[in-house]
Amino acid sequence: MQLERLYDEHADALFGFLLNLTRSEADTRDALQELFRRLALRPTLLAGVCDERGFLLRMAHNQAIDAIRRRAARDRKHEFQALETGGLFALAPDPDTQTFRAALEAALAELPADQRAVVHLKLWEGLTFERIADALAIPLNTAASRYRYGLDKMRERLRPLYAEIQP
Amino acid sequence: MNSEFEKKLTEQPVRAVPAAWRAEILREARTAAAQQRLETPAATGWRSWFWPAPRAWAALAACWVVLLAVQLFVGAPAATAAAPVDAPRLALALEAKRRALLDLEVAVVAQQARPAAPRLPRGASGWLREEKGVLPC
Repeated sequence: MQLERLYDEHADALFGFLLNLTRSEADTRDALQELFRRLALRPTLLAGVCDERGFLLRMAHNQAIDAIRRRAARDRKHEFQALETGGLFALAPDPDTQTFRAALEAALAELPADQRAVVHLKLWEGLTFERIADALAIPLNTAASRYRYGLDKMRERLRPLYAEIQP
Repeated sequence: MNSEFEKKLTEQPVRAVPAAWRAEILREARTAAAQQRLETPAATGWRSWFWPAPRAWAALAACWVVLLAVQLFVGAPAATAAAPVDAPRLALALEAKRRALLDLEVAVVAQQARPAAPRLPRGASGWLREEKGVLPC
């Protein structure tokens, strides 16, 4: 079925993106549920869509923005919170890499959500700035500048650790 | 990727979606869709009727809009030209003309029925008689 195929092909990417944006596994679960509920209610939603992943990432982004706003009303500090449960990255076999991943999560958490979204799509989805701009409904130059600012902040934040683990 | 740093970040794998979510999310999505179908059968029917050719319906609607616009712009001056005339005033004017024509006809007939007057001699006395209304026998 179409819904199963969509889930199997895109759920991992949508999960990572939503988790990085919302910083909450519960919100990610709700957003992912809502996204697939909408797809089930409107089976023709993806008819004629060339870039399925881009379209679904845009839907996920809208869901994440809604979730962030809802949470902002409850807790103003959620932007800088660590992940509520689990982690964004898979567990690493060696302690050094695990330390780096934990620091990377903390660095990501310090980025504003709009920069974090672009950084995530660029680094872990491998999208071009053009596709990122489409997915987030922002101009191309904005996508590029958000990425540059976000990456600079993360480089600055991770510099000591990164230099240490460099071979 | 244009730097070692970006490459290093890209190498960190993002965690996969928990396996238990799949069945729950898909089941809830299907339940919602089934519930919607039960609640709004009419809307679904209309949608299924319209949906096979949405572009054709859109084109038809666009044609109607164009026709209405043309009718609006072209029809406006014609309507002004064909503005209703004040009927009572027109009737009065026609009646007055008809009477004037009738008077003229009566005058012409009367003139033709009157015998021709003899030519008066010109001169001071002739003018005098004419002025007094005395015609010579």
